[in-house]
Amino acid sequence: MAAAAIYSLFIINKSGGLIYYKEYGSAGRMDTNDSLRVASLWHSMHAISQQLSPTVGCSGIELLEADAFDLHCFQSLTGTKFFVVCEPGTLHMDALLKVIYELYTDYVLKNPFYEMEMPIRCELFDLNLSQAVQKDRVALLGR
Amino acid sequence: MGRCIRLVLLALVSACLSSRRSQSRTSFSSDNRSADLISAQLTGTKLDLQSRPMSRVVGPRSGDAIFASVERVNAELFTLTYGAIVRQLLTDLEEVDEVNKQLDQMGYNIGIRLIDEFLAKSNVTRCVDFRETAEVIAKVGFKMFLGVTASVTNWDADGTCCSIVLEDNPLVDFVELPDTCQGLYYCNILSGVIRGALEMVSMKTEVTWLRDMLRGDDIFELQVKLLKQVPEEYPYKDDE
Repeated sequence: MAAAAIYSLFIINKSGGLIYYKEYGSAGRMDTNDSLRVASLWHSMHAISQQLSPTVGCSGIELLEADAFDLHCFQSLTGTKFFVVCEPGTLHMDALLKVIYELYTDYVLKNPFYEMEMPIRCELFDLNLSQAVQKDRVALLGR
Repeated sequence: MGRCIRLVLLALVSACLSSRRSQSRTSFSSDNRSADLISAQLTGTKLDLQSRPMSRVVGPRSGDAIFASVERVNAELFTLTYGAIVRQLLTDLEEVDEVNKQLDQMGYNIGIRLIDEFLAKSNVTRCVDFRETAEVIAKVGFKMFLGVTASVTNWDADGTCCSIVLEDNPLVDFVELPDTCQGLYYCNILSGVIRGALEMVSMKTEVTWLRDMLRGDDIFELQVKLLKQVPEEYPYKDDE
């Protein structure tokens, strides 16, 4: 089933390393080096935005809107960042990111063989993630 | 059958594996490891078949609400499993002090992973001060994972040290300490969990047991002392 207008998903650990990358569809396809570069760029930009922000206690960029895509970012209090790149104007991405965070806690962190801060290779996570990003599932998040 | 509590079994197993493995790393061949991985995935598939309800949640949730919505496991199974782990540690390590240390380390390993689940499912936001943190641990954290509520007392003047008091503790339901284990902090895993979890949200703490029902006190009392608040990594200092 088609993913809901999402181009790609990134998860970055607290030190800025890319630990998960997944593409949906062919738009904006990247090779491994590019995805690593985007991840560390975003990590630094996020950090800089926190300092530049006029709002006190700003927690960094949550949404970047461009002509060709939107980038929604969610950072957990432990410092792990989740961000999706999607079609401009896609709805419910903040809710989807929360769902992905829950999946991460259930299927990555509870996997005894996953080592913290390392790249994620967990089948169960992949499986549940691909269900969560399905178009009709994401539409339900709006309710 | 009595009450039901939340399973941290997987996490327990995880903690055991990682702590046990560090002691006997050399004895694991690479073949064993991949076999382990496969079996973990198989059991994982069995455990996690239930599909996830998608719900849009706004604002922090109460401990009771989370406790009601997550999967739970029979309390006796949990209590007995924990007992078996402690018993095995006593057999393996022989010294009670070593067991205390090991339990604390296992708790720490659980805590550093468990904190994310806590944050993801409770929707709590950043606490303004340590007082709020302690309240959240006692009211939401304990309820969510153990199904009991704790209370926070004995604050010191500058708000960096307090006691978390547990009147009911499912870990010790059938436990009596024998004479040979008088120095054992049976629930030391809990102090490790709190320490590990708080460390991941940049608070260095020291957690110690002040009172223990297994040692004849009337309640369980955990002292949580904030050593220092590690600032976020940013901003880096340019001139250093």
